[in-house]
Amino acid sequence: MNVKILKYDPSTDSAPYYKTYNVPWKKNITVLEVLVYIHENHEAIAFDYSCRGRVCGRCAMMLDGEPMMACYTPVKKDGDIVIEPLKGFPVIRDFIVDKSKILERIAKIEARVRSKPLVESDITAVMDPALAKKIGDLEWCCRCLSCVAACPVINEMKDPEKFIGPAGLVALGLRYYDPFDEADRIIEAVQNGLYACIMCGNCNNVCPAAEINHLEVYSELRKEAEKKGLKT
Amino acid sequence: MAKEEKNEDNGVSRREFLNKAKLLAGSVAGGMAMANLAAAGTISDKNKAKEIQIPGSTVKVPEPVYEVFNTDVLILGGGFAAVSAAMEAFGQGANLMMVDKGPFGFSGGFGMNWDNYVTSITDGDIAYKFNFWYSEGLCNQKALKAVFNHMPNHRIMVDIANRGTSAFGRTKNGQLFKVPMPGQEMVEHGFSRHESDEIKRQGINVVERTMITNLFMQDGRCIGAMGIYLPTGAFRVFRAKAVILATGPCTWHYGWISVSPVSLGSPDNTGDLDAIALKNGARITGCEFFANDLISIYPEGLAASYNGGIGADDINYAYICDKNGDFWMKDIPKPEMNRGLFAREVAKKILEGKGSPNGGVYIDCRTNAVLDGLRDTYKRNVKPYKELFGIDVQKDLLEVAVEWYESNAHPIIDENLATDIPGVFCPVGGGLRGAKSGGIALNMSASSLAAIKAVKYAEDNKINKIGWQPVNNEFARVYEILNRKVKNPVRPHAVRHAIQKAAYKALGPIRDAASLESSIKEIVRIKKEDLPRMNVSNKTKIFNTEWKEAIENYNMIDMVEAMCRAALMRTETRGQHYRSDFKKRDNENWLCNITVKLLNGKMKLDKEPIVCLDYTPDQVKKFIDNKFAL
Repeated sequence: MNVKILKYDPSTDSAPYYKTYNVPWKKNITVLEVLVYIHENHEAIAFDYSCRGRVCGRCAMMLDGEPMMACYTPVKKDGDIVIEPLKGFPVIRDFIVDKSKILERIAKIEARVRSKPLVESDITAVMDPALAKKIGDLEWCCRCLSCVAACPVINEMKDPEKFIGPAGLVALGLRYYDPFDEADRIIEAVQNGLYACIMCGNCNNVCPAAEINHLEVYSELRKEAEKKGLKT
Repeated sequence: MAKEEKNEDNGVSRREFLNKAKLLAGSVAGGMAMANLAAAGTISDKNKAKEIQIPGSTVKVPEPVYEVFNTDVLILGGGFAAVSAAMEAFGQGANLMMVDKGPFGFSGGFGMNWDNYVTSITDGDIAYKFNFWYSEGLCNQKALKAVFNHMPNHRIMVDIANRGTSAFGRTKNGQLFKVPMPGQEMVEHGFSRHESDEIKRQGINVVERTMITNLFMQDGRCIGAMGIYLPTGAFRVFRAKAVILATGPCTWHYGWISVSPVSLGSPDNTGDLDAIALKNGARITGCEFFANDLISIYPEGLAASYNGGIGADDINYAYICDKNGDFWMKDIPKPEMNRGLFAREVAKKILEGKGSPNGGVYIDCRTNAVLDGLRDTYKRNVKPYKELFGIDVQKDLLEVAVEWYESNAHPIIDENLATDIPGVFCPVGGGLRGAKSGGIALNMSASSLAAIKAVKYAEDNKINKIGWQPVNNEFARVYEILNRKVKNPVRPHAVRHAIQKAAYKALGPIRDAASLESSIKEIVRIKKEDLPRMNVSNKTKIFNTEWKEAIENYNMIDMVEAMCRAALMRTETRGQHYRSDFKKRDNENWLCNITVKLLNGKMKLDKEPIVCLDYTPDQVKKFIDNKFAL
């Protein structure tokens, strides 16, 4: 197959450019295998990966214009494909991007807010298994930010201050469900653009974690915001 | 560069050093946005007035330029151990800095945000005895005791919850689901992202995407470390009064299938710091031991990934079968099962010719009972296996292979978790695990203790004088690797695959003298013939993954050589070290550790007597020959 990739080395290139390589297709070949093949058989390219199982988030990139995890996405047919770095993030080199503008904010959101530390009896107390599952499902967000790359709102708005994007809202949802968190996550969600979202579901479609139901999280946050009169 | 008031030796002038330090100070205070920091801190290398000549190389190295960071306690690593050490040191009010090779929170096994077991200690004394028994007698009793005394009833579950985990696994009635172990208990659904978030919440300084390439040594003492900031290629020096080596295992050496070795580990796990400690005079130990699981090896792109695969382990093993459909392990009672037995059982089955075509066995997930009982981390792959890759584990047996998830090879430590190198502490140090692996509980308690010891060391041991020659030498070494011109060049990935192939042939679940000797021969050949002609094809300094690979190869090959030599020397079977030519445990000759040291570039292996406290060697023999009993 012919694989067109977007290359860029800011220390030598004035702008990113496309280059095409021939790669032998095989059944179940993953996009990551394609990149390793090019790196080892054609020329050195810069890309990053770790877990090969869609949980570390490091190999998120674009295949034919759609965000996906290179490690967990097979190339179905022996045809031409285009691979580009994850859309919307500054490129360090080739497929390595700087996601800090979103990741730093998500890390701060997801840190729990609480006046006193938990003690053992808080944790061993019975928890509704449905609630435990609800929180547990959102834990699988690996922060690959495929959802951010797929989000039409954040890509048009270009201002994470006005809209944190899907992964940030999922982090807010996790803490909203967390019985041990004491912050008002509804105000925080509205402040972070809960109503900027157009509920298109693109985030859910590209998310590598099937456990996460994005629209359900947003809807529950909105329902609660409306109860508080915070709908904007 | 202008000649002026040179400091100590022919390194950086004092004024220039102060200028650099000033330039960096503002950015460091800025916190986590390290991409910006590099831009602010990079010093132009236009001045090439003075060149360094490396013996045996045609490369002329320009005068070194580097960024200097200064701290008291330097923590190298970004995983469970590093995070725990950092939180402890931070809580003590120490000035500290963490350095992570990868993007922090996303690097190594820690960066895989999966459902891991969280182990808490319920009874420190029983846990100590169990861990010692589990080590098959090889643990340093003083060090192990110090760790368990440090936190006798360490409720790691509570710590982890306070760092952000809300929902450990529950039963249908909402009770906490606990897996009991002697003196310890485990709960499910630990997600490591909360740990890195907590580090950021606390405001602990993490320097990420920076690969440490050497320790900064002076008069036999470690006064920091140095390495490369990967996004720009800038050379960085970290000055410190105490250094904690808290990096993960060396597992990226074990074979190669398309995109990874037969290991659930990360490409970050190249054993850099263990090899660097060895190069700087430390003895390393535990090299012949590793820890393993069984995991699927097909599709090739997902091979051996814990998170992208379906597998089994010493806790979940009833559905493992051989090629004839014999579930031979299912009747082994859980209290009797352990990693060593697990690995040996698989090895024996393969030796009997009842394994799978690729050197493994099978798992049978065709019944709902098995499917429902699978760990979530495996279960979540069943549907995508079918839908994305056309593999239906509800219809067919799945081939699984023995993967390495942990290596025990680390610098030997004493009861203060201090290595042979003054100023260097190692919470994952050799001596705490013996012949089998430790868990996160041991790791976290040891990290906390190591941090306390390192903080104290930093307070008590000032540095009065700095000589910059080691920095210049290391700058020259890595510069040469990037810029060398050689006849018959070979690219770093090709050298790496040769190392991986040699390791896979010899260090599997079944070992024997012939394969170990053959792999050692191959490793020696690679060192002599391939490493010198290793050539980085693209000379860019911007995130040069080939340059990184080339530097790591020097570390990996030393680790593989140490592992092969120790495995060859230990002519017995113990823990996961199964010798088909020496199938019995031999306490008379091998109730001891093997240490590896570099002497004049050659590896010297020695038998090191076990360190005793509660049990004499004779008592140890009796203790480990029986089943574990309280």
